[in-house]
Amino acid sequence: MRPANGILPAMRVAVYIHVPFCRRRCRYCDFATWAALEGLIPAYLGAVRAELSRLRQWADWKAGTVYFGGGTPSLLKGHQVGRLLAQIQLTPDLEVSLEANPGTVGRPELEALHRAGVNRLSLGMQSGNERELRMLGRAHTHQAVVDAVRDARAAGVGNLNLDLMYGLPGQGRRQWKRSLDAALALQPEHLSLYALSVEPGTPLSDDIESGRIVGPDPDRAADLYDQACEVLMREGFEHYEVSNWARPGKACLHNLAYWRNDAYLGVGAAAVGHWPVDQAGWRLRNVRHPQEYVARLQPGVEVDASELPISPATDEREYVPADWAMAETMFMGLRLLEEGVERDRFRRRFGRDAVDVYTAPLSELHRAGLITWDDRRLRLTPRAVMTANQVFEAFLPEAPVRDVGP
Amino acid sequence: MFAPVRSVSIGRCYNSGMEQSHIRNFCIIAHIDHGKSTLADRLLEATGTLTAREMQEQVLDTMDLEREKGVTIKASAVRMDYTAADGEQYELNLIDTPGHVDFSYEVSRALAACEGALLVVDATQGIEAQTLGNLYLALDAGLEVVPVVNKIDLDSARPEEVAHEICDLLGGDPDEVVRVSAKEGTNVSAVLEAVVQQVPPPSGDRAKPTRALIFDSHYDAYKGVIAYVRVVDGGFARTDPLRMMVTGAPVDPVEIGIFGPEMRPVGQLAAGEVGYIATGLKTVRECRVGDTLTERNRPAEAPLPGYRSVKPMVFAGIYPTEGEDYGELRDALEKLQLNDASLVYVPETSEALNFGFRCGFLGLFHMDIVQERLEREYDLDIVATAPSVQYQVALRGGRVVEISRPSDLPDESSIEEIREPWMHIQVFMPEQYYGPVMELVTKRRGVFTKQEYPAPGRVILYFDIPLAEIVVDFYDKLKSNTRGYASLDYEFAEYRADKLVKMEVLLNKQPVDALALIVHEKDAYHRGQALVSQLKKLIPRQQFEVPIQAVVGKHVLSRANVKAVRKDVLAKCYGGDVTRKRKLLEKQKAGKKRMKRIGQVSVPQEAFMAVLMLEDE
Repeated sequence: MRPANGILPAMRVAVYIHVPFCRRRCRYCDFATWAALEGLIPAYLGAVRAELSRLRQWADWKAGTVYFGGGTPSLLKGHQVGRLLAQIQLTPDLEVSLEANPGTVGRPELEALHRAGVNRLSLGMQSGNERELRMLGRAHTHQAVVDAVRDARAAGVGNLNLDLMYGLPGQGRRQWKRSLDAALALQPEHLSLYALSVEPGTPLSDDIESGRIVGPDPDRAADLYDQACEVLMREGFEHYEVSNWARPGKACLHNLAYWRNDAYLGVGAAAVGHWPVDQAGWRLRNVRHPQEYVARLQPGVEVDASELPISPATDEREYVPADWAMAETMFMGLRLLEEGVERDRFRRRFGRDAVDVYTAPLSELHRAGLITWDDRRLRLTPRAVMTANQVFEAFLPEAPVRDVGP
Repeated sequence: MFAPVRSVSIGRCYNSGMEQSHIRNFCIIAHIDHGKSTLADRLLEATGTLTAREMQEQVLDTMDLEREKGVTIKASAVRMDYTAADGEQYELNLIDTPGHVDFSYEVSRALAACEGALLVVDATQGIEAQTLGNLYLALDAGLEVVPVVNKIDLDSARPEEVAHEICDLLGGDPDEVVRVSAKEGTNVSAVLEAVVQQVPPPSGDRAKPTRALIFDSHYDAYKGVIAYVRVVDGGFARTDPLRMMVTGAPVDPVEIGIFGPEMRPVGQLAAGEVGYIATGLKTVRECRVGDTLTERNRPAEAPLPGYRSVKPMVFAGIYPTEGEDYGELRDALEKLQLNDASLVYVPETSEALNFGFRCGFLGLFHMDIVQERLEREYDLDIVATAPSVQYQVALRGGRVVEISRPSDLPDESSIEEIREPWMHIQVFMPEQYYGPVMELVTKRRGVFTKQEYPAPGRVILYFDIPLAEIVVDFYDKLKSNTRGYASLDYEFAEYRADKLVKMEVLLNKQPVDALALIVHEKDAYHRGQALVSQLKKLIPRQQFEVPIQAVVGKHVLSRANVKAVRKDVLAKCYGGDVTRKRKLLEKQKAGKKRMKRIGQVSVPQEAFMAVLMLEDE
């Protein structure tokens, strides 16, 4: 087995570990997560360890970042997280993030998680307004958020993110301001603001379809976004990505790997990984259901040698040809509002300058005032941020990407 | 059995065919759905022309589309050999006529080829406007009308009443009206006997110079255009050099024959007979319905009366959805035209829709059929603009130009007057819908001319109305206002001048040629409002605000803005799932690709038909 191409010096890769368990599902949620399956957690963690160990054997990589996403990773105990991290070669400055739901952890649990290596906590606050929390089907009150932040700080977590949602049914500027203020009062290093998107098949979508709740208005969501931009700028946050704000130096390193279209490993059920091979790349997706995931990682199941970081749980691999990889690099990178797409980085991977590759669309987008560039980077203009999809489309090649079996 | 040989100076005398006294040429006239095709099937079966097993249902309608729509587009002619109750052998020629008002000229030529007509009336529905329209045509053509009440098997049938209705119109004894169920095959032989007894034999002179009426044609890939003919005088053999008397085109028959119903070659065709001539001509346009064939060596003095060159009445632009399909669309239109002399098309360029064709149709129904065939038989994705009529524009200085595309209307200052085609229409319906129909027609500038009560409880209203007012959804409205009971017949009346104006639609301040309309001055405001609000619904939000305006000259009648998209960015990237994001972008992009781009604005196909939806407002 030989390591795949080394676009990352010293093979540092971002590692995403999916924890697909929740005490209950929120009303808007269509993520890969299951309620009332917590009995499976021990077996599941065994499978995750098996997958990690298999990936360790595959090549000699070092983790650049680790991110426990969910689901509700805070359902894991400190020692459980510790055993997983033991499979990964940790470096001292490594960012280890874990998503936590308020109300699932108290100070002792948080201390244990911190001891295990978690140094960045992302709390699903979502709203500072009790009525909104209920409408979303969140299992906690605002007080639980306040408590969780206090406990996390006491446990020594120095890097804290709060997730908030805007564009909620019935949410106006006043309610939104209250949520923002409540969040700011907790002094997070990082804020992620997500517009509510109503996914078909969720209870919230049923509520809206049946008329019990009035659906979100995209124009109002845009107003609320503008409002948040102003407030957070005044507060000294850097708006470094379309949906993410951070204190200087506190941007989420793990997520940067996504935006930069770098390599990352996806571990656990439904996890997605990305592995560039020269100019092209592969997107690898694990089986979705945790039970099937566990079954796939029973001892003795082998996979063929590959230049890709695959495991028995790999369910789909999608080849991303160079022109598509370039497009993805563009539309992911442009989400980084300050960094943008770095022309050097682009040239290192693709051997061509982004400005040459996309001469025609760039000049049209430039004329429309949606994109700017200088010697170092291409960036969205402020007015293009909220309708960035329309810019991103300009980079898509004509032929679709094909799916390849496991 | 044979006609006596009469010597003539140069020509021959055609005596080998069936004696004229034993020939009956007839057609069937009926309202759509009253069972014409089924009855035709039964007649073929009863005469042994086709066995039931051979017979695909409704053989006379060769196109699927016709069968589906329940109407006949192409006429056909079938010879049946029939031994009547009197023991004599007869040659019955059944000439099928198109069943729709758009094809009334073709109907009139088919009628001219007959001496008699079976008038088929549904025993439940009774007489309808179209029945009447065709009946009057048949009477005008001097045909002997043999009424038949059909569908007597239905529970709702009221054959006695309907027979009385018919006799009120035609005279005669209601008890003698033949009652049948074509579906069940009940009493079909009575129909054949009535044909033999009541329809007069042809009375042409076989010694005279040949005159044969062309009443239909179709294109055959091997034999060229097949002309369907009724020999009126004289006769001809395959080797006789012939000539079209109106167009002057020479015809040297490749083959002559009869329809049995398949094409069956014969040596000659004589006066009174019906058959075909494989002309070898390349397009049906060279072989016009209504033209007269004569012998080149011994031409008749004058053609048969009644020839008319058919002019399209309704026009629409037809464009491929994808520009690259232009060639395919052109080929498809070319093929359709082989069999459809009434379809005309010329290449057209639209700023909005790029390259396509301006097509002319006999009427709305004809347009529907062509569009459907393009989509279904040729598998083409097309955009059709709203139908328009042909306007005569009298310019200052005396010149008159004809335009069929609203955006072609010259500058207002150069126009003396604009004339538009008016139609005579007749609406036949139960009396209780008098009010709603009157209102519908007068709202559309229709003028009431007279009324008739042809049967108890039934009324025929006669109006004059601009064609432009009935090309869009008039028929549907008429049907819905009368719960389906009204039927409509129309014919061209004349061109009349009126206060017509060009209404333009501006998208993002640019006029869009494909959306321009010619409207009556007094309707402009209302139509402009309705069109703008319809477009506002159909045009999706774009990166920037898009103003939509309806203007007449410099006067803005209506304005609305499609607001700019404010938010279109996917917030979250779940655990690095870029594929999901990319698929969403792809989907969004594909959606836009299906739209037409006009300047910077993406416009969905439906917008070009928006004018058709106005009445739903």
